Amino acid sequence: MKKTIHWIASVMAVLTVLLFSRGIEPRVSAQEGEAVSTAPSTEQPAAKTAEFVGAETCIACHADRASFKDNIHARAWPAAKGIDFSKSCETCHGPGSLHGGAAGDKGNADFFTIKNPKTLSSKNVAKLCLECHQGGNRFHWDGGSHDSRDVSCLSCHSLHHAKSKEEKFLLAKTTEMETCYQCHSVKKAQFQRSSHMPLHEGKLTCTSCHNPHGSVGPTLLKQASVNENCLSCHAEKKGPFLWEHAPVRENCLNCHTPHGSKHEKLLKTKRPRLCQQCHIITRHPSTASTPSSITLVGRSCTECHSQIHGSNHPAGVRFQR
Amino acid sequence: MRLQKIIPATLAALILAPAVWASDPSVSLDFGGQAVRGDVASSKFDEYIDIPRGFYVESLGLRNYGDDYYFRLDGAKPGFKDQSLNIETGIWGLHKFSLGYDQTPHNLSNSARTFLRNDGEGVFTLPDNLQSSLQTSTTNAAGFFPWAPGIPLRVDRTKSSLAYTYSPTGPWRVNLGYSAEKKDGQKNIGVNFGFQIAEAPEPVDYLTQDLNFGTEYVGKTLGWRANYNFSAFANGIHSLTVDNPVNLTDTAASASGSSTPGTARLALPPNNHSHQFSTDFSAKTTAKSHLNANASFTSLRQNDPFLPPTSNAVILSKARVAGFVPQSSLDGMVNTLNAALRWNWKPVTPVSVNVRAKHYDIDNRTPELTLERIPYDSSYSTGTPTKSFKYGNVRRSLPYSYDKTNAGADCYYSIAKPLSMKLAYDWERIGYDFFEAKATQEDIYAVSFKAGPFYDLVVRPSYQYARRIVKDYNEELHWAEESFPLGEGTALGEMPQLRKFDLAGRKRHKVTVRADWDPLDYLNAGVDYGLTKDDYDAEYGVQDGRTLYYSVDASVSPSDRLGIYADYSWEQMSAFTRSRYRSSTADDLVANDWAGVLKDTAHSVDVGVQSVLLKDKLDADLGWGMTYLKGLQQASNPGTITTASALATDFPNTYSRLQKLRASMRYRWSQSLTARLGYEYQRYTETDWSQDDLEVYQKDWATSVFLGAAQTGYEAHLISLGLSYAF
Repeated sequence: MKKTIHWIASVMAVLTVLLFSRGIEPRVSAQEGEAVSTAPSTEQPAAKTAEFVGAETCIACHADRASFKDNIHARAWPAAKGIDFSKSCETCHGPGSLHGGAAGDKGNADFFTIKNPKTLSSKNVAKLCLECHQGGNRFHWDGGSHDSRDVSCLSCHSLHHAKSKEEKFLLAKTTEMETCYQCHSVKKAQFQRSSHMPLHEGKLTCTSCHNPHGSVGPTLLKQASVNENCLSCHAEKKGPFLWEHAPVRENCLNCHTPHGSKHEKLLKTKRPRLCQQCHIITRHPSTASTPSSITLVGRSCTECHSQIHGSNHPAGVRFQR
Repeated sequence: MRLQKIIPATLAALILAPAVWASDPSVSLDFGGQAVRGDVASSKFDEYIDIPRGFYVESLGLRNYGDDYYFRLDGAKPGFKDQSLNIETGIWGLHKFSLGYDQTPHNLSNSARTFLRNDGEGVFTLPDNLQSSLQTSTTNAAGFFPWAPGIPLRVDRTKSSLAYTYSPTGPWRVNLGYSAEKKDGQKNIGVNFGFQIAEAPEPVDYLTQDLNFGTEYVGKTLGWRANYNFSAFANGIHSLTVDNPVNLTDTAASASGSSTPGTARLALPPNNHSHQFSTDFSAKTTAKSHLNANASFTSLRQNDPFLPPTSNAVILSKARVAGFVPQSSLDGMVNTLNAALRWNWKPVTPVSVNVRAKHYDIDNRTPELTLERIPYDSSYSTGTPTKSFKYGNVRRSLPYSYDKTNAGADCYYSIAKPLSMKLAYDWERIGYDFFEAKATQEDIYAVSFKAGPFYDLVVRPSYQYARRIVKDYNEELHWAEESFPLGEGTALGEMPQLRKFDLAGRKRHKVTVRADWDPLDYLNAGVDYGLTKDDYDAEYGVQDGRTLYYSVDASVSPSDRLGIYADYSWEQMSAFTRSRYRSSTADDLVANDWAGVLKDTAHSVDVGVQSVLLKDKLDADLGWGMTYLKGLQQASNPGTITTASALATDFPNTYSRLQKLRASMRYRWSQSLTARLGYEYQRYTETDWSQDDLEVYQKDWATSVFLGAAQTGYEAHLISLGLSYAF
């Protein structure tokens, strides 16, 4: 098995090198709208001849976009970016004179001179959005997990048809959770379990812990490590304690599963079995003895070893005090 | 705490006034009444929310977007225990001021009962006559403990926050923030008096304050930001002292060195504070490449005074115990350094390459202390005092540390319009201090694809293989300092062949597939599949772990007046362990091994219909959701056991089931007024041997007393009627 894996990895590496050595050229596709778009970041001849026509002209055909006036972009831009409403459409879509001149004729190449983000690759959508939105939470977007898995800004945000109650995020779904569940559907089920964090109660959201726009932490966590993330709310467990429990200092996920569990306190499995995964100690019920035992009911092992996250008591070596 | 509410409110009022009245505001208000019927005594019913009974305001909003100023206010359930208020205001693109106030209850149990009386400062006492009576005889205890008064076990969280952002120029931004989080309440905790347990309510009086400020510059080619954060945690109660229910005072020392204590005392979480400095840097290294870097340094300190080593005055008076603690407080310090670098190169449109490296170092500089050992408040050693290291006499505290280094690269390649591929390799090394292993090292290979859209189908499969090896494992390295060391007295300690799963060699296979199908504007469906299989290189401990899940979801809207959705998810988490029955004598035999199977299975279903009965007038929703969980914990002896005590048996299965049926109708009277009628049925059932039969007092355990805290099932009907008004 080991050899097979290494063999597969080697083949993949060679394949990658070959792909590069072919001298890949960007594909120009009028349908994609990437190569003939008119945004400042693209360099296409057609763009040079297109001119700004103003939002009123756009709305004359795209009447369903008239509500963009109420959009947070249209409201904020005049003061924040010096872009008044008349320029708002073409700020993202590029100058529209040629597109408008085509009068809806898709047989006319000019029709495709408008930039349609829906047909752009995720990389080019990000490039467009980051023209204004770089920095802040997007500081580590480039090369982050979502960027490198081909997730587009438009996978989560809908500029014209935002459904979220919180209008400033312009989400594609009614809530932040529903937006994330589009791809992370199993998390939806996990948060329904008997032991869960209060996401469905509306007191936490996915972005309470994660930054979907990229981070330096694992699994897009906002902090640099799992423990830093957990301890930012559970500060009482930071210590340092006189007597530390090694797996606690190492990683909260050694014992807890944050997205939902069948077991109380978001534990990975039920006590005493959880503790017995790492402890086979004498003078304790190392067998699956009857559950009526006093050492198994209630909080089980932590009924006696109650300070399992660490003890600052001089005689707390066994986390009992 | 009061000051923390007044200051933000005053600041907010001063800053908000011009923004609120800058132009015509829009206001929304959602209010109504709700009735609750059924068996809702369980804390599970309102675990994290305050469920209204009678009149309540569901939400309120105020918007005012002027040409320069803007103002936004969102409030929810004012006056309830889960109320919240968020205000954001400022001048577009220049000033942003936000204020947040949020309460979250956490209802732990409604069934707890105790005779313990809270005397303040973490001291809980019992009536002397009760202790004396039980000290004499516990015969009648089962009769009167059920009559103990009930106490709520809940912890309520209140968080206030203030933030201000100033953007003097386009690329520059300065921010300042402060938050205070208060946690109040009590939760159950186990207290032991030697080999005797009593549960008590642990008072929670936490305050965590965070202050941060930073600046950011993000230009066309360069970006930089720096932040400072100060965090302080303060616990209002530093210790918990609880009366022994079956012993009034510390008994005189016996010849063998035992004394039954009248109280037990625990140290509660100590105060701590930390400083964190962090900086981020980004640069377009070329027109097609981008470099991101981050560095942060955190220093965490803790120096709360130590408690005396025991609350038992008889033991404390012994000469050997005097001078037990070498210093009055820990002077603990943990420094954490994080440095990360990522280079992203997009040489041509279809290709993206990432190269990354990260170093994360937890340097625990807390002093190692060697302390005389007092295992229980009920006994002390009668041996000759000694400073030489003997398992039975002393323990040394260990400042666990580790450093983790990661390096890796991935390449994304859009092979053709409907097909892209990503290859990744990562390497991780963790170096440990004071753990049984010196280091672990892992190689992780991954490949993922995105195929589509073709025929309106997008498929995203991925596969990951990881192999972890362990370096310099020495099970005896720190046994002397461990909680249960080998050779403690005449008994055995930890089992030498055991491998803790985080320090064991491991092979991991992980497969995920996500497929989305959108054949029509009104129809979409998705399928998820995932399998993670871990194979541990361990003779004892966790041998294998497996997580398998799949889910299907679909939604269809055959007309703009009807929408139907359904999703189902199944997940199973399994672990296979091997252990051994080991008595306190030396019968450490393979024959007494036992194998354990842990398996949790979860089914979740959610289906519903959304319909418009009268266009722009009347719509209705109907939905049903169910989550069913089953826990299985089995054990068996592979061989022929040598003693009946080694017999491995299964624990009873545990179950829980939550069902919710929701129905609602909304009638729009006018553009600004909508009426709603809602009904919800909830039913939760739970079967769990560890709490089902647990009472405050059990005859079989004559000297132990519990709180009887449980989260049992419930059944509820909620009927609500409300109005939404917007103007």
